[in-house]
Amino acid sequence: MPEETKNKASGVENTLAKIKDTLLNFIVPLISILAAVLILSLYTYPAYKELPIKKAELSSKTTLRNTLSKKVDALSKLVDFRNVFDENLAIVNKVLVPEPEVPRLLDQASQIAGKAGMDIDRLSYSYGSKGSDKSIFETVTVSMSVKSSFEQLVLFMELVEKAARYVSVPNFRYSVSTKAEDAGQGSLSSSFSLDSPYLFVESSAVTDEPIGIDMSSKEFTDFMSMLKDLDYYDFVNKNIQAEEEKPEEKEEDLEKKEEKPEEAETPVSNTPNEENPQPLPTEGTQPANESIFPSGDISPAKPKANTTQ
Amino acid sequence: MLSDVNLIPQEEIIEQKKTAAVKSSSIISVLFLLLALGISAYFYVTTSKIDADIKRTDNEIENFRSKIKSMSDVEVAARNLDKKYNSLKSLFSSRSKYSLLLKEVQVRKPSDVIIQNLDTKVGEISISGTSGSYVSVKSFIDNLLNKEFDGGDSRLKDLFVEVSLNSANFDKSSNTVKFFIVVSYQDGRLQGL
Repeated sequence: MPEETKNKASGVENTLAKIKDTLLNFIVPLISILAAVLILSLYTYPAYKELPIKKAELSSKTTLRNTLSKKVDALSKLVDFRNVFDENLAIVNKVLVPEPEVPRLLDQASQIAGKAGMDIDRLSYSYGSKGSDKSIFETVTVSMSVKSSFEQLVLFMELVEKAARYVSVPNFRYSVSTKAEDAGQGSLSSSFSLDSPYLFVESSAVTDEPIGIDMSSKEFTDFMSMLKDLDYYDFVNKNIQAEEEKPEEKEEDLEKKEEKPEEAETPVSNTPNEENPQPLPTEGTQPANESIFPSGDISPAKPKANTTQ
Repeated sequence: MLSDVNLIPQEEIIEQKKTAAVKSSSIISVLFLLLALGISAYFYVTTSKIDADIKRTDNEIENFRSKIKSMSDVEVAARNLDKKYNSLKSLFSSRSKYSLLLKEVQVRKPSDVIIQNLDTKVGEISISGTSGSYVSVKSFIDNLLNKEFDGGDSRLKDLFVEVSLNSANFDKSSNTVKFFIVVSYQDGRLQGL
């Protein structure tokens, strides 16, 4: 009996040992490998794939946060220095006007001519020619014919270059006047085109985009100082009149002038100086409600070639 | 020689090797599991940290956005100023100063040359006039092209690049030479001054 029991016990022990061996040698490794494969395939690999995306997301958000942080600082500065900011905005709006403001431009042109001591023969304007520099600007072009000396012509150019409202001269011509009556007024007859661009800007707040302007930068402050040093002309003659040229008329006019260059040498007979003995005003001398040109038929824009109505 | 004697039966050796191999594979598989767990833990910690950072950054972004929105009127004005400032910068830098051009032509002109007509376009001037002699016309042309010319604006020494003499005729009635020249100049030299 005890021998039988011993054998039984030995059989159980063997069975247990076999089970233990099987567990240790097969089941545990199998489960381990299975679990490892499952973990790697279901979590680690997707996490590995997702990690660069998350890093990129974090990087872009960090960049955005830094941008917004800088923008908040910049806006806070602008709020703190609101007066300076508004002053700068007002200056740039005077130099690059948002609307054509043709009468003011004509007034500025006639004031500059007056300041340079020139006599205006003809003053007209036209809309719409784009600036030469493939730009976003609309342009008003003032055409002028004047009588002056050479020094006055150079002074006029300098004043134009120093004028607050931006004006550029795309082309000009002058010729020595052969008329004896012009001797006292200056020996040159000149004609100009003065291009003045205007730009209406209407920005919208784009929260996530930085503001480009840095009002504390040297470049900005230097540029604004330059603008402040320009000559500002008060709008003294609000009723200034000049004829509007249509683009076709202007082209025809130019063509005719090119065909007959000698025409420039002999100014037309019905210039304002002949028909209108009134002198043109100089700066600050003209009453604000009076036109520098008499109403009725005698307009300085009137009769040169095709510029008439 | 004695050491070479192996009394263990060959079957037993094979059995021992099998047992060792099985045990090693068990250990390796467990280590493999541990390695997988370790890598997963690393990714879990890293991802969690990044997630937390993203969440914190999102909160900061929202905070900044609300601050910026409260100053939207200032932002709009600043953008307007920025646009105009940049436009003006480009306009001023590309504007040609014709006053300097006129002075430069005048200063290079001999005293007995009289300009009757001067027509300026971008990069080109047409000049017609009279002169006391052919030599003066030649001198005028030479002066225009002289890069070492004294008396002119030092910034505009090489302003004029080409002069073509289209005509030069002696007028007996006035005893003068009538000439017509076309001068090419570098418009860029007159800009940004």
